Amino acid sequence: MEGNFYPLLKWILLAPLAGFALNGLLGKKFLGEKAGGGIGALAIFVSFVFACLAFSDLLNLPAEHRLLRDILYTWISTGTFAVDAALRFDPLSAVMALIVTGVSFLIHVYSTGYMKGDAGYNRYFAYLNLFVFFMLTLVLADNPLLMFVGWEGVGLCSYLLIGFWYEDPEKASAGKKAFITNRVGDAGFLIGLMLLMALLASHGLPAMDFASLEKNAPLLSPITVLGIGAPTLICLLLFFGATGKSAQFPLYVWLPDAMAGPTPVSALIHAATMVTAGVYMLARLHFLYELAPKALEVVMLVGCFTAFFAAVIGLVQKDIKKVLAYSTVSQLGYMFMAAGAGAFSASIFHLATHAFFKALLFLGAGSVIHGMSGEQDMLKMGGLKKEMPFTFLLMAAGWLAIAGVPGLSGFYSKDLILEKVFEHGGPLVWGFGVLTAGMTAFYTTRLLILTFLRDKRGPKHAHESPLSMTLPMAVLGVLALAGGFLLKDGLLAFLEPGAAHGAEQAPHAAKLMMISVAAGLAGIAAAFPLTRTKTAVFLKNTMSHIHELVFQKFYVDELYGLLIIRPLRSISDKVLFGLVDAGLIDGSLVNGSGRACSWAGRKLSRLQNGRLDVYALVFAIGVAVMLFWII
Amino acid sequence: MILTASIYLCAALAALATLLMMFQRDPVKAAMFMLTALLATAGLYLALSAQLLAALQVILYAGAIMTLFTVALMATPQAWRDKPAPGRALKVLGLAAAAVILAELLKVSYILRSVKISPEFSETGTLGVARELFGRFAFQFELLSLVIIASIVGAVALAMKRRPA
Amino acid sequence: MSAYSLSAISFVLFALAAAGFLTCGNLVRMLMFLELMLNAANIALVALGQSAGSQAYAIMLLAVAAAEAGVGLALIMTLAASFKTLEAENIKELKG
Repeated sequence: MEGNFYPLLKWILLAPLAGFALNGLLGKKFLGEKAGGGIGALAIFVSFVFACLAFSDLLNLPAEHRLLRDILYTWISTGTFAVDAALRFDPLSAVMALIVTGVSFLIHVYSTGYMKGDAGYNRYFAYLNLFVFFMLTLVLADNPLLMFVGWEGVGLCSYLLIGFWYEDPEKASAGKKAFITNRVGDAGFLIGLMLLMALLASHGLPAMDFASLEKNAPLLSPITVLGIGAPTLICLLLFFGATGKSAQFPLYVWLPDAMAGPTPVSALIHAATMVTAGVYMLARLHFLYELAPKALEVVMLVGCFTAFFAAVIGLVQKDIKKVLAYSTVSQLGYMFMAAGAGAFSASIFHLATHAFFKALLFLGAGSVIHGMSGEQDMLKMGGLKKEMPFTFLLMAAGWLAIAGVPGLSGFYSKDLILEKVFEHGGPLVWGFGVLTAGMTAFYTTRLLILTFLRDKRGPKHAHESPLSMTLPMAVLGVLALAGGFLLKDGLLAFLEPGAAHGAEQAPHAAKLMMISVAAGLAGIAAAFPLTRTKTAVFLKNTMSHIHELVFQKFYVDELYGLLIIRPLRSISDKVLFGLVDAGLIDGSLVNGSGRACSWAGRKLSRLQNGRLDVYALVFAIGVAVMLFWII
Repeated sequence: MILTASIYLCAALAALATLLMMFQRDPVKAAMFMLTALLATAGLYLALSAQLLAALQVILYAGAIMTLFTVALMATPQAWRDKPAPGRALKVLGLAAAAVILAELLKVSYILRSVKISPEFSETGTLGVARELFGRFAFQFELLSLVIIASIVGAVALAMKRRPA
Repeated sequence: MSAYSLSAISFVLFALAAAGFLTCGNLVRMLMFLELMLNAANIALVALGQSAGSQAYAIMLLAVAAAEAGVGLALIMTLAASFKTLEAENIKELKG
């Protein structure tokens, strides 16, 4: 087991857990609002500091041996199969840990302002800390099982936080939808994981930590399961789990509904961290995916389709948070496209830049909503530039970043992805990517225009947000603007020290870059005229059917409801509840055994009627039976 | 040959008597059938060359015990002998249990088929019996007298009416 | 004849007496069948054990049967006197 032993790693995890315990147990009564928020943010700050320390120690190691490990305890130990609760800190987890702790610290600070006055203030911070704990477990895990613990845990916290205002049944059911859709994906994940473990164990190599997996994975190549190569099947199953967690087609339906939760939650969980778990998993298991090129192709195609599809839906949404939700789905599609093209470090790069600008956009939207006292419909906003100047500036920074304006973070990462996709996936996929980039620019510009520019449409009066909210946004704004430029070479070299980067520019790379930039600028430019009220109404009326189709999200939710949920409900109700539960278990087994017992008792009590001859008879029968048994 | 036939004959007689005893309503008549069975058993003993036993059987069983039964039956008032017959189920179960016991016992003793016994009429072996009774089984014999005394005392104690003191 | 036939005789007698014991309702008749069962056992003893020892044993068994019959009858009489009936059906005081 290479890698230096580094006991500091566990404290990265334990600080948020302590925050959760303090806020959760002592919450409202003893801590109150100020202390509760302070503890929550402090816990994450401590975690961030430790992550930075570990990161600097990692940098001191030579490039090929950057690995720190820490073992907490032996988790499972049965016969030949043993799994430790071990943590692993290599360049990939370092990047993820820093992003998670850094961005979530900013969002914690933001939440102290946003959630002020809410009745569940301490509960909120407890859940948020718990979420960070599970997310860190996910990224720092050294074996897929511990990673799965984190995977499930973030799903749980997502449910708790989406349905945070649980008294509203709609919000509560949004939380349920997220959890259940995740669960469907997790089933695929588990099956893939079990297949991996079983196949490796049958070769006598049950070690499950990632280093051993990387070494032993090529052994799986010749095996076929159900006619498909084993690595391909495992990768597809794991990817199915990733579609649930990272909101790709077909399991993306929970993310738009998840906007029912508080906006900082959307920023943290559904923009920067949880939904990126799928991308992280792909990057972590890249050795397995490199053995299964067909699976990678599927990943790329699904990512491309999702990116395009979500962008189309996002074009016509009214709710500010829903636009951002579809935007997230679309950008995640980009990350999966990159992973599918084999450029795993490019997908991580986009993950980082996306965390910055998407979190910024979400926090800005939260600021707008906070300022408008809860209004989320963009058609009722407008002209907020004057009333909320600071928010406007920062959101504009995020807007430019996501649109891919050259020099900003989004430009570098998106461009790298499109270049890799053109190399590996061919011009068709690349074309869709470029088109999606144009649409991304369009709808983000539309969002900005409708919210901040033009004339005031709504009746409400808005006020600027307090410093606790705008300061974190400012930090994210700086990162969104400058992050790409600062990080681009360093990050890629850090993640894959062996591969050569950047230096070799394919001759047509410059041409590709210009085309994608042009698409982005075209999108921005097209947004201004097309969102004028008269034009928009005209377009809507002429393409009313298409508009309705897109606005209703292509009726995918309704389709799922019809095909899956309704039959499932009716089977549950009629067959499983009616027949099995009420009829079989209640009626025959439980009540039936009771009835049988009382019937037997009644019959048997007739033996004890006090009559001597009956007793003699019973005696004789007993003797007969005993003789029968002996003889 | 004769002995074999007489063994079977006596046995059949005893069995028949027992069988008929079951179907008798009147208890006194049933007692008479029992007497027949006991006497048949005495005949069986004779055929098996246990002459002392046969004599004792007649004296004790057929003589003393049967007398006891008959006297007891006579002494009980008629009113006590009302006859609700036991229910059908009980009867069937009883017969079934007895049949099962019989089958099992027969099955167990099946291995005895190979052991051949040819009864011969031997001289009265009373001397041998006496030797056993007062020799090997002397202790048990004495104990028997205790048993008899105990039973007498018990019977008397039971039968005596409580005098109001 | 074989030992099997002799033991079969005794078993048949025993079974018949047992059947009678279990199907009659009168207490005194039950005692009578009981005596017959004991008698059948006695036959088995004598028939299968050809030696003098078995006969001595059978004599002792005879005495025991007599004693038991006496005590049994005394018991039954007392019981019948308190319950005023001889039928086993009517004596149900043991019923809990």
